[in-house]
Amino acid sequence: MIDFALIWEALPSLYRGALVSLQIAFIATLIGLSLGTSLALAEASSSKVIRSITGIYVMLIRGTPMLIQILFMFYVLPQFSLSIAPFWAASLAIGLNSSAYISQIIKSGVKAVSKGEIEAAYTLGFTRLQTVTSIVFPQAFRITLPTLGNELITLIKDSSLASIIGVMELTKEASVIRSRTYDAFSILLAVSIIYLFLTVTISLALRWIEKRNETYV
Amino acid sequence: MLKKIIFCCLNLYCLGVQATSSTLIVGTNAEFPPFAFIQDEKIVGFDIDMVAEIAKRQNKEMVIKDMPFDALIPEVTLSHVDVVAAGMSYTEERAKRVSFTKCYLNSDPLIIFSKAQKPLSYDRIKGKTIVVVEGFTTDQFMSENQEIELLRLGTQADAFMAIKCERADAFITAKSTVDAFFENQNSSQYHTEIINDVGETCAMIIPKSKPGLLKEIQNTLDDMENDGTLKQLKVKWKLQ
Repeated sequence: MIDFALIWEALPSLYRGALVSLQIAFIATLIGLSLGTSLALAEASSSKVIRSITGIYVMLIRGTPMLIQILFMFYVLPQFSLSIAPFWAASLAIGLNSSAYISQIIKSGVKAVSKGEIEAAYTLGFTRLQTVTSIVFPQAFRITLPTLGNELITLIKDSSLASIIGVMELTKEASVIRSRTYDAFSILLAVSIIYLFLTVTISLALRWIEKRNETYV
Repeated sequence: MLKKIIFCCLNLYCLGVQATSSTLIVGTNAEFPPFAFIQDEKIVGFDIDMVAEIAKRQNKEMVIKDMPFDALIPEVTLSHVDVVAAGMSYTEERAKRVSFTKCYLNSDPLIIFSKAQKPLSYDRIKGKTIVVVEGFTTDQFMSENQEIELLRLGTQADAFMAIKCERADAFITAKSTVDAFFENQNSSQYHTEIINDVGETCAMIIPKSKPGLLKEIQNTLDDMENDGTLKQLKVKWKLQ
């Protein structure tokens, strides 16, 4: 039932697809981390307006499925003359989605830093910015690292949703081969192994980074 | 009528239905007019009429399993269904894994659609974004064209939406698959052009593990062709 010859033949296109999947995940991570950090900061803002805007954004993004967000980005934005290529539409949608989750992760990390330390920093004459950059963030980073790593791994798997709008990433490449050959299982198996390889490699790398950071505690 | 409703309900359960000699388990994807689609909560269409006739002639009870296109192939590979009738097209590559009946509908040439405001003709598609439905003959045909940007989407509805939203410049597909669509839509919104380079074909698929069944169904299909039933059904569904 497993057709190894077909898998071998399909490897170049699966490799091409895996690269696209990684690119989507990478771009989405960049968007997610930068926007997510800004959102976390905005949520800690003293302005009520800024806080409620971020609150609504996070609620909207977390309250709707990522698949719908990708379709929205692809089909609805062109109605407002904002036509972006499928690849970018998917990366942007996944990145925006991730930013909402990342903002919550960072928020919880920041909250975990003890109030006493922050007060101590102020007493020692640290400015607000200094306190955030040298007391809060380094600790929050270490606390949130495992969860952020999880988010990155989730993004690699989420990138498969880009296939719905025709982006030729790993899942789509596989689906095209399946419709060509009517092969039922071999390609799915191969694709699962490739996803597993990507996620396991990344989680090992993340664990290494975590270990390295622990030594400075 | 009641029987058909019962069959529809059975779809929910029939993952566990086992093939016996008195039933014919049919896999289809009812999103594909005029071949198989849902009308008044019943699955109807050219392919459905075809298998219903085959079941009748073989004194078998027909059980329809409606499922996504993606699931049809695993189901047939695992012999969970006896026959798939969903406007499937023969290719050599596919025939390595499933058995095909002889093609019983060798139909229309391909057709191109683009928005009427931005008409596009076939000889000017170079550099344009062309949308096709994944797995259709047009997908394979257009994949050979290196000069276009090919966008493969899941269904006809997605493809039409892509032109409507100007995500693609044109949609290339088989004529028979879109006639039903135009009955509900204002076709003057679209520019259409017939391409005679290649056509769409239609056959049923049967698990490789059931060569006997393939022979029986092929014989019935041959009979239906000889006595004019096939032609009648083609006329009924405006495929000829």
